[in-house]
Amino acid sequence: MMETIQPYRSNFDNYEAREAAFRELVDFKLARRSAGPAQFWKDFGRITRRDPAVGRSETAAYITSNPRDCLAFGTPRQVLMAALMATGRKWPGDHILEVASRFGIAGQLDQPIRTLSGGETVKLALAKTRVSLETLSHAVVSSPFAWLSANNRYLLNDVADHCRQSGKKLSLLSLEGEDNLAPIGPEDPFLNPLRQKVKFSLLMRAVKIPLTLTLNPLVADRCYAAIENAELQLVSPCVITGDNGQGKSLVARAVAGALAFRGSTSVNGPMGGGRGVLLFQDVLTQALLRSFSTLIRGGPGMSRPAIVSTYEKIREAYAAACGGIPTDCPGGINAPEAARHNLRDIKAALVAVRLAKAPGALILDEPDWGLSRQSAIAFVSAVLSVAHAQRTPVILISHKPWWQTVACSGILISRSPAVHPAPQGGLVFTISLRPERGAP
Amino acid sequence: MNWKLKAGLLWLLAIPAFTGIAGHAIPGSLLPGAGYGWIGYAVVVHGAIALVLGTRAYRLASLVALAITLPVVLLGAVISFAVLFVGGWSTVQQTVTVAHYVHLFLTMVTVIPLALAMVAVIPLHRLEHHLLRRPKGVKTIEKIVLMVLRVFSHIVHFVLPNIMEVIREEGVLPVKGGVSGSHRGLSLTLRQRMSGLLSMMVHVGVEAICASIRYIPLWADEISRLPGSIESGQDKNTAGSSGEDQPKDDP
Repeated sequence: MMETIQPYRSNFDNYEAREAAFRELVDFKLARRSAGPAQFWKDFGRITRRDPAVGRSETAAYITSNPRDCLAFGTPRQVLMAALMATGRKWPGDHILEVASRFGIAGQLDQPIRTLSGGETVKLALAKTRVSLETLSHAVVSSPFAWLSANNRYLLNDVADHCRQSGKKLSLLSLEGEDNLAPIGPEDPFLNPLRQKVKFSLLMRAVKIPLTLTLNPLVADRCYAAIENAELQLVSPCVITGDNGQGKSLVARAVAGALAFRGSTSVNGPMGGGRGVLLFQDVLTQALLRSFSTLIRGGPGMSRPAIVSTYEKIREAYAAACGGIPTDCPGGINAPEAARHNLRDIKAALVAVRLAKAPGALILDEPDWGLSRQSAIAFVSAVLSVAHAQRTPVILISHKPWWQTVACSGILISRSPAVHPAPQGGLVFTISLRPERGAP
Repeated sequence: MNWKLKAGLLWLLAIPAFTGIAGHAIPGSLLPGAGYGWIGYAVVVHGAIALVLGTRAYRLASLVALAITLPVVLLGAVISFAVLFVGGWSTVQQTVTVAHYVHLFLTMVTVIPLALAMVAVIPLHRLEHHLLRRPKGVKTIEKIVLMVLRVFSHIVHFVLPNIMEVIREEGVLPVKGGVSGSHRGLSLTLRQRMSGLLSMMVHVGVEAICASIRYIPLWADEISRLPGSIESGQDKNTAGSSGEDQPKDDP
């Protein structure tokens, strides 16, 4: 695997440098943060190829670090249909199913892209790239490791192999160490925030989450994800694991109340019971559109000085974990103004806002996304030390095996392969939670 | 019943509302502003929606209609009566105002669900699917349709649900059911809640607009790659625009 992709690979210290390099390669296609009406119509006019700005790199296939951002149609089937259609060849009717099966997304062909997990979205983006590469000049892939679990990495290998065989250029941009599968060791910048155990319990009772699995919910069958009842005794940090598409993020969203559902969930920590708070990708995506001062302000009824204080504590703990001023901290740790435009600080601010709510638990969904291995380990370590100091348990959701050596408890999440008719109508699949390590 | 029949039925039903026939079909009125014609028409429309789209869709359409109608009618009536009160109360004006708002209420609770049903009955996702299956390629007008559908679907099925999830998680809106307990220290006063709600609405507005149009360059590029219609002779070289030979092997 490493040998296959290594020749195409460029490593970067941080998210900002990698994004800049990525934009350099496929700039004109990427989503804009903002645009006026004139730009809107100019972009819209590209449908008919009237725009002369479409230039040299128009024949690139690309996968962004947030893979949803490179899929232009509503469902995986439509994405693959458009990719096959764009090759200008006639394909047999079952070819889409064949491609989807090869990339492990045959069961998700008619789901809206939004309902796919991060890993499934990367699989689809790879399948699309693989199909359309024949008529394109090159492919650019940005950080696929954040979402793709280790046992699915052969799919990336497959695309790289195909590029080599067909003589196409492949640019693989990644962050330092993000595909390193070694658990955290003594050489990594991990503080030991585990002086006192933070125990907590997670309860799920008759949870049933309605899902919109079709594009027209008004006329479609209802579909639910049912979570099996569970009462788990856990110790922070707790790591939630499971393969792509098993429902890890769905469970986290239910615990945090980000989704409407029936039944009840609760997290009971040392400071009492309550709901969890969750930092997930959609929050980060929206945060990238907001100003830093808006982020750090928090919500109604929250104390801004308390949020700023927590934010500074996280940054200081981060610097301590790095053994001094970290190299990816522009201007040094005491120059927050200079540092407030990087992803790590945005994450620190979002965590600070959530910790200020004194939640039942803090859940970080893919906390390593957009960070190099060293930066991610130092960041999570800093968050753990600050959260544990206020007796808040932390739950990590990650594909990375890094956290195994520092986790004090774990939950394995898996979903039933089959979808069954629900007793009250509609369809249902079941998600189960199993403790992975010894109970406290 | 296939969707074309359903759509035809609903669109036929819309004719009385848009031509004004409904108000004059049956003489007499139950209340000032609520003629028997409109009441009968409203009953038929609601029955047809429930029959054609099912009770779940009917409930949803009715809820949306009420959510729009009640603030408009109640706020309008309060303002009108306040103006009447200040300018001198007269029984005739009072009757006219009551009739106006009763009629407005009846019209809105009839027309809004009907309009929603007329759109909902069209299987837009199938249209997108259908256009991508064309063996002869896609015409320019069809590419524009694909783009418009993409923007519409993205807003309804991606932007709004994402924003709702984020504001739920951020605790700006009260969590209904499911989650036991709440954030400690976050017992907000009504003023704080209102302030938070206003602030949230501004954010939602700005973020919804940004998120809705930010992918236009990507979509335009992907849609433009679809081969043009052979019949119209458009974009014959689209598929192999890099000038490379067509592939020989299956992917």
